[in-house]
Amino acid sequence: MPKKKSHPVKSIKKPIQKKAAKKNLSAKTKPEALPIDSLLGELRLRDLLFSSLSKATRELLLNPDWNKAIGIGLQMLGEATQVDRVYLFENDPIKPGTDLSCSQRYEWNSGVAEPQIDNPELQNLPYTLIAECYQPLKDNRPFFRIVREMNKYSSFRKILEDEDIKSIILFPIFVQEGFWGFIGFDECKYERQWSEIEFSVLRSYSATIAGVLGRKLSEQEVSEKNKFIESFAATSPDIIYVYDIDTDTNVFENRHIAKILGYSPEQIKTIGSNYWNFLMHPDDKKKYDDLLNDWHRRTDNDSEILESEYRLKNSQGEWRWYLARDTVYKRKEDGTIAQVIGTAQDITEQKLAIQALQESEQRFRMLQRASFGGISLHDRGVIIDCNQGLCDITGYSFEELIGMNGLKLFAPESQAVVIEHIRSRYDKPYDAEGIRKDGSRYFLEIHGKNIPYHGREIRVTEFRDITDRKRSEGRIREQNARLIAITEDLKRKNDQLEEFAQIVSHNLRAPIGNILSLITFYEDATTEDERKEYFNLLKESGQTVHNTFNELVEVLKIRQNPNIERHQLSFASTLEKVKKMLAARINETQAVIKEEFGTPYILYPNIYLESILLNLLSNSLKYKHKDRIPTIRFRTFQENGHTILEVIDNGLGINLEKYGHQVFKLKKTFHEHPESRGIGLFITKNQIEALGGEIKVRSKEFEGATFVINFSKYAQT
Amino acid sequence: MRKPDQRPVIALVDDDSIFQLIATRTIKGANLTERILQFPNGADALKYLEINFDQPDRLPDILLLDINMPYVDGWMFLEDFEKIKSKLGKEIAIYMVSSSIDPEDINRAKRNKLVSDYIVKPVSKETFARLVKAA
Repeated sequence: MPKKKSHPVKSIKKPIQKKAAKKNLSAKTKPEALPIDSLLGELRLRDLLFSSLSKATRELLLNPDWNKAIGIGLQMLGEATQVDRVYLFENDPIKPGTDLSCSQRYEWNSGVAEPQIDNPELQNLPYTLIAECYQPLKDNRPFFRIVREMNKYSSFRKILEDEDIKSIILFPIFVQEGFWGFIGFDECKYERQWSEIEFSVLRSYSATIAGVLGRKLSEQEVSEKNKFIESFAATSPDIIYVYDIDTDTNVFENRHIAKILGYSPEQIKTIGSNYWNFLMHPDDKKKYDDLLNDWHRRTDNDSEILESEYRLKNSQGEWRWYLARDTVYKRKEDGTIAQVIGTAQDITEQKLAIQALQESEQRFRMLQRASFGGISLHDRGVIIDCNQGLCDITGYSFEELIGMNGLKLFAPESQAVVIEHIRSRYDKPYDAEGIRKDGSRYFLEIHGKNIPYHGREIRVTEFRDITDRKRSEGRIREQNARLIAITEDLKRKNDQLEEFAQIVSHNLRAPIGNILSLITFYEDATTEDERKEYFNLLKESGQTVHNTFNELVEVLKIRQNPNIERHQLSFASTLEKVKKMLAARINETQAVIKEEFGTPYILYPNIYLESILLNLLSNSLKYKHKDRIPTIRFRTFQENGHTILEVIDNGLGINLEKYGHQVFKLKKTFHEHPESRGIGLFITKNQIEALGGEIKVRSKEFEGATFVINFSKYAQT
Repeated sequence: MRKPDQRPVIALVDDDSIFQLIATRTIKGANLTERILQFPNGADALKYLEINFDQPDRLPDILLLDINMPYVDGWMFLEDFEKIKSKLGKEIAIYMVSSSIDPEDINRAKRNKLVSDYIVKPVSKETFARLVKAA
């Protein structure tokens, strides 16, 4: 088949060239005609062919209605060549996975052949069914066949025979270098061969169709492109313009800048074409012009985009910021830039936002700087920003702090708490101990808070040096303690004053009252004996006053002399001395004296310790139980840093419920005992209290008493 | 003048022996009564009252009580006296007698309903007379 196929095509050209005028035309016209007639006929035919081609071509080029133009063209050529059918097939769009097909678009019919324009089989007709023509057409070669000579089993032949076609010729149409379709001529009357002239006319027409189609297509493309650009320009919020440098005007702009800025058409008219000068901020105008001038002089910047920012005044007199992006659009013959294409974008809001941000950042910095405390921002412990305050507090420089692990600012003992608080997002103030660059320690109050930052969560921490506060807290505590001590001391002194008042009231006033009465008695006395009796009683009363007064003075001395000299004394040796003083009574009572001096020494005034031990021991011996040998234990020990002395006896004891309030008072005795004078314990108590100590008694009547002395209970050291 | 058995019995409770002597001589000198009971402290006085509770003749009509005494002082005497008062066969007028002019002592005495009055030492003849008359 390929051989057969190629043969007729070749055979068209050669015979056509040689004998087209004679054979082919003669075959068509009457063979017996005269040569001159046939020559004339041939000339007329040729004239007809050319004029038809010219008309058909003119239709294609000039008729704005493409369909009509094709219809007329096909008819003219059909009539001129006397074929039975002329048609135009267009290739269908290529669908992936399917064979290329074509569809008939136009048909002219001579009336001999049946019209096929409505034949559905000629729509989407796959080339596989007309396989023989595919390769030549695709290679931009014409296809010619005598149907009878085609392969008997060819589907193409079958199609042609069904339509009584004897001879066929097809010319490919290539549009924009692509295989677009073909134009075809059917001959149903006889097995026609094509003359050279017919061949070239038909080929010329198909080429014209191709050209017109190509033009149509690019026109469509251009209009589509324009449409795209127009809609793009219309929907873009930016101003798009083409600026002509020489005329200083925009030759294109998608919208008028002045209109966007709110100027009315009248205003725009007044402003005129040179509105840039009018609208642009003078400072920016100068800069922008300089920039453009420089840029315009260069010839190597076609692909470069020039960015510039400037302000334009809107109709309200406000300055709007624009960002312009310019690039070369057209150059002049001398290479300088003729036109610039660019976009201008309103960036006022961004500018304001950036400005606001900068201002807020500045304010933040100012606040940070002004803050007395240290402020740090950290991301999982690493400091990413901080203020001068933190540098001042910690002794590190800003550069050292950035990137540092914030835990290094805390003493090791505080780090666990800090970590825990960071982890739990603790947001209340807490105390911690800080450590400075030089290793010194200080007290801190830490107050942290987590805040979102660039999609993460970071922690802002305030450091406050509270060393001063801690120090004054300590001072306040000390002062408080001192005040409490002073208050207690005052209370004791007040008690003592009351006691003195009592002593004066009872112990001094009573004998003086007696003296006054006795004097009256003395005066009224009638006998010498009487007078003598009253005189003795007066002497006795005088002595009582004197004694009481001396005791009071003694106590006052003790009270007023708390700074009496102290010595390192041994309890054992002091007690030894006291025992010697009371040796007679100890012997008499066979008393057992036990000593357990766990604290062997005390810093105390010698005479006081002696007096205390003497009073307590003599008391215990005095108030011994008559059925028991007195046993008296002396023990000393330490309790809360105080030296304690206990004197425990097994004597009569005291009914504390009854007499507890009187134990250490002057001239109080609780026993109907001949030796009770009630002075000892009063003095003892005063001595102990004068030096900040305390004496207490525990007792059960008839079982014994325990005196407990804390030597330094209220002592201020 | 009353008959001797009709004159009141006066008890002096005071550790001050000189006061006891002065008071006794003053009362007797003014011929107010011859029947004077003397106790050196509250405990002794209470003991006497308890023993003689059912013999009104032996119980005092007037009791002069010192505050400041060793062992059982005036206040303590009053506490114990209240317990035995109801069984005593006689109404006893108690006067607190003290050298103290401490308002605390005076007020404390006057607040006590067992105490008829507070008398500041020294006590004059006229005061004793007024007490006896009131009895």
